[in-house]
Amino acid sequence: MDYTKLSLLEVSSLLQEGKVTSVELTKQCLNNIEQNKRLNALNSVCSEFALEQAQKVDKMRADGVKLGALAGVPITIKDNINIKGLKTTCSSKFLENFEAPYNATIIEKLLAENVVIVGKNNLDEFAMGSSTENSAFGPALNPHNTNYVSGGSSGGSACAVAANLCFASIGTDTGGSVRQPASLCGVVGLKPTYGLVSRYGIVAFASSLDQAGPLTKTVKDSALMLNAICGYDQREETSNKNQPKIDYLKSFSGSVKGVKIGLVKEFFGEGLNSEVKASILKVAEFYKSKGAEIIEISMPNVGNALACYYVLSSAEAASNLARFDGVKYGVSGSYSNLNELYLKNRSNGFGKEVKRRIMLGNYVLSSGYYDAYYKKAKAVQKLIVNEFAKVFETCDVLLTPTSPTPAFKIGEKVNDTLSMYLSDVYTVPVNIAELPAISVPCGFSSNGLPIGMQLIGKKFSEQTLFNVADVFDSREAK
Amino acid sequence: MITDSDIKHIARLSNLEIAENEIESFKHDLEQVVNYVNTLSKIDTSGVDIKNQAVSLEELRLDEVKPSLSQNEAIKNAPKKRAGGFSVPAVIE
Repeated sequence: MDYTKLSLLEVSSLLQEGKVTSVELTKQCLNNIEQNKRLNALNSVCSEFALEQAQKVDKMRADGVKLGALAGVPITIKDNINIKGLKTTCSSKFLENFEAPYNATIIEKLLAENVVIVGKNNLDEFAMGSSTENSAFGPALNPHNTNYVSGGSSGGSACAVAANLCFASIGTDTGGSVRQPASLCGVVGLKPTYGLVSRYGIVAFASSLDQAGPLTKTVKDSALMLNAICGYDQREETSNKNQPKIDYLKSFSGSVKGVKIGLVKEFFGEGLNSEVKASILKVAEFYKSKGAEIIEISMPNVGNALACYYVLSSAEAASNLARFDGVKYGVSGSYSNLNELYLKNRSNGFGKEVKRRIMLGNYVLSSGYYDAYYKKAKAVQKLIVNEFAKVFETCDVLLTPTSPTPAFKIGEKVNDTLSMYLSDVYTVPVNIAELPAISVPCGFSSNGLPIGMQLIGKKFSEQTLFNVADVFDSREAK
Repeated sequence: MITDSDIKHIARLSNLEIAENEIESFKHDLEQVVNYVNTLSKIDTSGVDIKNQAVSLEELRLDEVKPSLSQNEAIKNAPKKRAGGFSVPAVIE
């Protein structure tokens, strides 16, 4: 039997009932990976590490050790998250040979749950991009049609989950990098509230916006993964200390009766593909039929989030990427002085999009421009935060499209920077306001490409998001 | 308007070498994005206090000594190392 098509929760039950072994599952996933190399979903495969872990879990289970729901389940990890002893390349030439000397906190947590890590996912270089076309190792393809992009930056993660190469993946989301590829590949993607999941050991892009989150086949699987990775981390200053430990698998009441769902006018304007729009409005009808209250609202400032995002994220990226100087990691060579070493390593190591963002960041931070750009963007961010707070006085969640269009063709937007940036217009406001949001598959375009809806919640309202998302995800007539 | 000399200036700030034949394309891309983010200037933000940060900085941890990477692990990825340290070209002649 081919188990790889099952959900995480389903294989978890089979594993716990002893109906399948972790070694069997792992071999099936490794086989799918081998058969689907063309998709380019993975930068590296760690078969030995995975099979060793799978054998260990099977033995523990045979010995009667009590194990959690994730024990023995093969998953993949975005290649900007450190796993000790394995490469973390960030899909950059700069880190092509970088071997992580320590585990990210979320990896420690996942390994403590005895998951089986089978590989590291392709991404846009340093997580900057919306299509994985900025990967130094070539794009990850969309499993629904390989002429199309998988989205980005966690495109390899979305592709791997959609193509049944693993049961879940961990991605990172700075402006939509989990949700947009999830939407384009037809899987579930969660961006948790800022501070819920530790960023320690994840290569920083824009530290005030970065957050790791799971990509899974179902909403319930997402809850299961969040259970494993969330929680306070002393090693990470923005990690939230005050959230009580929640079992997200207990989020599901199966009802949306009385739930107030906001439809924000500004998310349905110019630039939105008509098929995507129709799909989202159908979802609203569905929720209404299940007893939810649909509220139409307006957020005049939310449209400024993308401009705000490109100032703040690029400024932070320019600072974060200053550490890539060729001394601690980089390419060995013969240089006549230290400046030449910096310059050569950075110029040869970074791809074009990363250079663009570093330059934009240094431009907005440079003398004479700081007030006009950086300070202004911080003020606009505050307006957007306030605006969300206001709509959440009347709404429990907001329903929006995840991406303005289904997947686009490979090469279609590579020469149009702004058009590529606009792919994230609906996801970016969530990061700007530190909110949680989830993307859930909600239909297909006429040419067979997945469409995703996004639900946005108040800070730390992941339980509400999961429940509302699941009522749709678990609907009978799919 | 972003000029050639702006690009050279930002490249220098960024420690990046931009070839003469790349200047045009960087200028085009940056100008496009800068024009887009210029929409921010039209937004009225008078009375918005940004000192109260949108990003919530939680209580800082105590400065305690804890186990960390060994010297060998820390320099493992360095392209050049010597005597347990990072090796770089001479800074002082």
